[in-house]
Amino acid sequence: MRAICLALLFSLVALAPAHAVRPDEVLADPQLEARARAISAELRCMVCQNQSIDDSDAPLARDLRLLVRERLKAGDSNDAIRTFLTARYGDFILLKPPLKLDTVLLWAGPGTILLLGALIILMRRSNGNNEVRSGAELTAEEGAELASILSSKDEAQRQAG
Amino acid sequence: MIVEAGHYALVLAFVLALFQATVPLIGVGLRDARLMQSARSVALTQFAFVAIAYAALTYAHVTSDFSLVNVYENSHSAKPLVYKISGVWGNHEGSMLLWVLVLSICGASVALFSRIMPETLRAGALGVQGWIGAAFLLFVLATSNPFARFAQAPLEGRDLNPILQDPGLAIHPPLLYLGYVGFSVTFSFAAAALISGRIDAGWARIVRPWVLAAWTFLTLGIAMGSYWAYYTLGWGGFWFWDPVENASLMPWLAGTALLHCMSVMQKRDALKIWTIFLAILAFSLSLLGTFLVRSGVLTSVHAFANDPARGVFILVILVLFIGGALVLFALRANTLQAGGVFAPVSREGALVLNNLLLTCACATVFIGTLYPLVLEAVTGEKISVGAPYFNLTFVPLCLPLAIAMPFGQQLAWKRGSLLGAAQRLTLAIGCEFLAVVALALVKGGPVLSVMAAGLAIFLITGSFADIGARALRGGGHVFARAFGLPRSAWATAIAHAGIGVTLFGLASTGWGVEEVARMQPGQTVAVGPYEVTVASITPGKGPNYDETVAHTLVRSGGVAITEINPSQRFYPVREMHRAEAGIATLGLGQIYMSVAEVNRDGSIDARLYWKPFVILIWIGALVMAAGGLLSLSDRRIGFAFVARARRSAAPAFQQAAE
Amino acid sequence: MIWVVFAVMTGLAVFSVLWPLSRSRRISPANLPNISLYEAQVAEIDRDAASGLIPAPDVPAAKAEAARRLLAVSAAQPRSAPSQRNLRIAALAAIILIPVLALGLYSRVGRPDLPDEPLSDRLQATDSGKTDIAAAIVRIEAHLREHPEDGRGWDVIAPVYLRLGRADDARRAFTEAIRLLGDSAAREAGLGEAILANAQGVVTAEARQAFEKAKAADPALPQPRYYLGVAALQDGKPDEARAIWTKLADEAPAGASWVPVIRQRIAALDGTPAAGPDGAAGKSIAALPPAQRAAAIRSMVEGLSARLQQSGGSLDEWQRLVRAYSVLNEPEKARAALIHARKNLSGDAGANAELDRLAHQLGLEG
Repeated sequence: MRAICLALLFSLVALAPAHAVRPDEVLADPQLEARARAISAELRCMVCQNQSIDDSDAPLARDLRLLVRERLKAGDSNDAIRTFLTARYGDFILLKPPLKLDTVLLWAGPGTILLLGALIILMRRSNGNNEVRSGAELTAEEGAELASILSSKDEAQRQAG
Repeated sequence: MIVEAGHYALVLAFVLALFQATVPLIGVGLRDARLMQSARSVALTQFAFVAIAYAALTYAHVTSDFSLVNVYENSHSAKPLVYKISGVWGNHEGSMLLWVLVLSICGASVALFSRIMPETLRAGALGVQGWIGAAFLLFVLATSNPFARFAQAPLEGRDLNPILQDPGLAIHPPLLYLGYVGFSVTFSFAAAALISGRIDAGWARIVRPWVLAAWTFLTLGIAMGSYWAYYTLGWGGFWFWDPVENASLMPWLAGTALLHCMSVMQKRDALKIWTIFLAILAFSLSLLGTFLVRSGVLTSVHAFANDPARGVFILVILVLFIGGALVLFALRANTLQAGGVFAPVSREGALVLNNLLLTCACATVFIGTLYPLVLEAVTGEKISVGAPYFNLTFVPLCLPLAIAMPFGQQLAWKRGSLLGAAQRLTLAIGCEFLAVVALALVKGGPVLSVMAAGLAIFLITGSFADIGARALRGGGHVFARAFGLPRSAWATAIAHAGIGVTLFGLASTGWGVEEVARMQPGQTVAVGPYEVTVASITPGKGPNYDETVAHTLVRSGGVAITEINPSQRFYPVREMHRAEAGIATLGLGQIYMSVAEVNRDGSIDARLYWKPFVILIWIGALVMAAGGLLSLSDRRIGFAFVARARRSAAPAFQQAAE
Repeated sequence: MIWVVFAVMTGLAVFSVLWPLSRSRRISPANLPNISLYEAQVAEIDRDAASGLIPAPDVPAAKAEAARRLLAVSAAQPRSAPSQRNLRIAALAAIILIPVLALGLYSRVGRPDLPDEPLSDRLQATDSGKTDIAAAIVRIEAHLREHPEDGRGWDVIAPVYLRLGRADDARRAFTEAIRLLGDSAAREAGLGEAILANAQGVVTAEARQAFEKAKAADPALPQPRYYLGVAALQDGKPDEARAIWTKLADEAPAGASWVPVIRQRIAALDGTPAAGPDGAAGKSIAALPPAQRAAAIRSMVEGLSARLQQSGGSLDEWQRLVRAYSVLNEPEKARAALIHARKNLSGDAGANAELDRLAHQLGLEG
């Protein structure tokens, strides 16, 4: 998955010259710039609702974008930059919540529910497989009752109509 | 006088809702026909009173009657008329009143429609609707009264939030509410079924059009909201996994699953537990969405209220209704007779898989949305759950669903054959491979985009495989047979194809081109296959804003095609900036231009995009909604309006039974 | 009037509950919907069988299911004879509870005494004589939105804005008025004040510009000159400020209301007047290093001289000045000061005699 995402990003880069959100933010080195965009897409603009700093026009977002590029120019690796930012701002800045003890339920939740759901369905199938219907045809009594009901309707229609 | 008459009408509506909540249900319990029948006229009168109240509020907004606190806080005499009208629901109190209005419209419809609805069911459903109505009317009157007055009226209002002064605003909330509140009707029917202990194909026949209508409106509402965010928020993003967006997605996912259950229930009397559960779930999620938006738990473009009293009130409503329904479900689920049996590989089986995946997807969104809130409440720690999380958890659930859809459509009831289905889908699979190869050659583009686009083509062609197979089978002219097929078959094909269309649009975001440039008048930037030239940058003025407009020309190969005018606006009363995007729709794609900043030297910092096939995202939603509407027009599925019973056209059965 | 409306609405509400309870005949046989549904289901089974969605052997079973359902619901139909007692209870409850609850709740939230107040009505009402500043403003604003080129409108509303403290609006209004009607001292002064108010009392460059223009247009106008003094003070030139204000106060027409204000500000500027070397000011000057001390003393003396020349002073002050110059070893200036003093105190024979004595004392005769 990660490889696909990276491939996606790099091919985006290959298709179009990558520019930062503001003309004056572009880094000279296209490789660094590509990394900057990739990292920015995963950082939250902290005064917006769920937008990455790449997407947001807020002044804070711009500051963070410049900060990321600064660190890249200083030679930090992607992980180092992320660590640096989380040390400063907390996990809140990461749009992809880190896998920690606190977030185990978050990451394991969907898969667990899928498994549980599948289990419940399979269990119910093995339990309640009996055909409830007594027969494929109506009995004589049932047929007679049906006829009387249907005729009552015709009766009512004649009266109303 | 009009205003206070509207106010009193609202109070009367609440009292009538109390009656609607009690008398018919007592009638159901005592099996008293007259008490049950009272539900209809009470529901209709309640609707009339809520309508009077809403009309009075609209009147106050239109005439700029600032003695109402609501009008003062959200309106301005200079606001254009259309936004005075739509601004009635552009704030918390007004939108709650709209909510209640839609609720009462639904109640009135249940009272009026359907010649095939048994009185017991109607009374039970209207009774539960009465409870919901009474709860929300009390909420409005007690904590969010739009008719609160000033003794000394100010002479000017505080204007509407500029972001909300937009045509999209006129459509998005009412569509959404029709969806949310439509699911309240299915909830009421489900609760009524649980109370009477009986749920069967007849119940499904009656409730199905409600689910279809609610789902269709919700689809349109979500699509409209997404498109509005796309062109309003100025950055070209259309889905942020914002908690409020998620709050509308969750009922949609549950509603889609419910929709499919309804057809199973109607045909085969099966999946009863699923159906009731999903009916309760869909409305519960609507209520949860209401809570999230209005309690101030989050702040976003949507947040209106920050008053804890309101949050607590809604929370109590939530607990009472959801808790009550689940208790009822737990107690009475066993009385529901088990339905028809089916093999694992069958149409029903496929729909069970469908339900499982959709419910899990819904649960994923639920977890992702609420987890940060719960974590913060419990440990005080703040985390963010954004697109990366959902891409890793939600998308992998949707992919098997997309693959399974055309297969499921091909399977027969009770017992089906996968091989047979696959054979009928060979054409569709072939189309998919062709598409993948073609796109890989032409675009070379991102692997994900090409694969997703291929899947989308498979979905679109596969959806119509069913129609194709049926049309080709048997004698007669192919087209005549095709168009003679029941509308529901066409509706299914169209709706499923709609999902494929949206998927194609989503895939194509990988082929987009972005340019960011500082532009002076006369400067040209190449964006994808087009050239964009800023002709001039001029100041302008609107009724309640000042703006700087960049008049821009879009060219292809030197030939001018069209003009767009992105701008930066300033609304002085609220002291807010807003960027208006300039959008040119060329074929199925769009040139999207946004003015990020107006610089002192007269140049602009602009963001330009070429987004090929992007409008397919929303066209797909329109196609889905068209499928829903087509389904509703089918007499066997849609609302049964006719009051008089028609003469029976099947005397053969009386003979067969005799 | 409104109570009539309320009564009618309440009546309708009660009626909506009573009407179905009182109807004696049934609209339709209760079972009809179920039968229609059964028939619809059977028809659909046939259709599905024809298109192959239901395998042929399953068709009779499916139809039997539908039939059994109809039988089941038909058995559970409501009884045909409704209990009169229940109906009476329900009706009574409606008649009593609806009005009681409705009026009770409304009395807590409603304001029946307040009439509707559509904006257009309110603005028209104020035309009929009552001077309501706020309403007038709203009317003028509305007018200006329609006719933004009406200079008179801007001119009228600008000072009102200023008085109300709406600095932003005032600034815009004055700018428009100047643009449309041309410069005038009053407008520039107003503009300057508006800019000032916006900048929390700081005289910015723009404000100063406006005040200069106003002063040039009409030197007699007090506001621009006053604020230019404030500007000087803010620039760190208290002497210039004092000079401006003193001149302003002196040239004021008699009995002008703002003169005491100016005088107060001047007095505040001076703080403790430098009474002599023994005074606090004197001690502080004594504490300075020699070069600066000389400069400080000189500036004090010059200041005194300027003031006395501009606005005159008492005998005592003139004597001080003369003595100071003599101490500073500037006999020419001392003699000049004497001449000024004599001119200033020309009516006072005793003072002149004193001045002569001083001159003789200091050896300044001649």
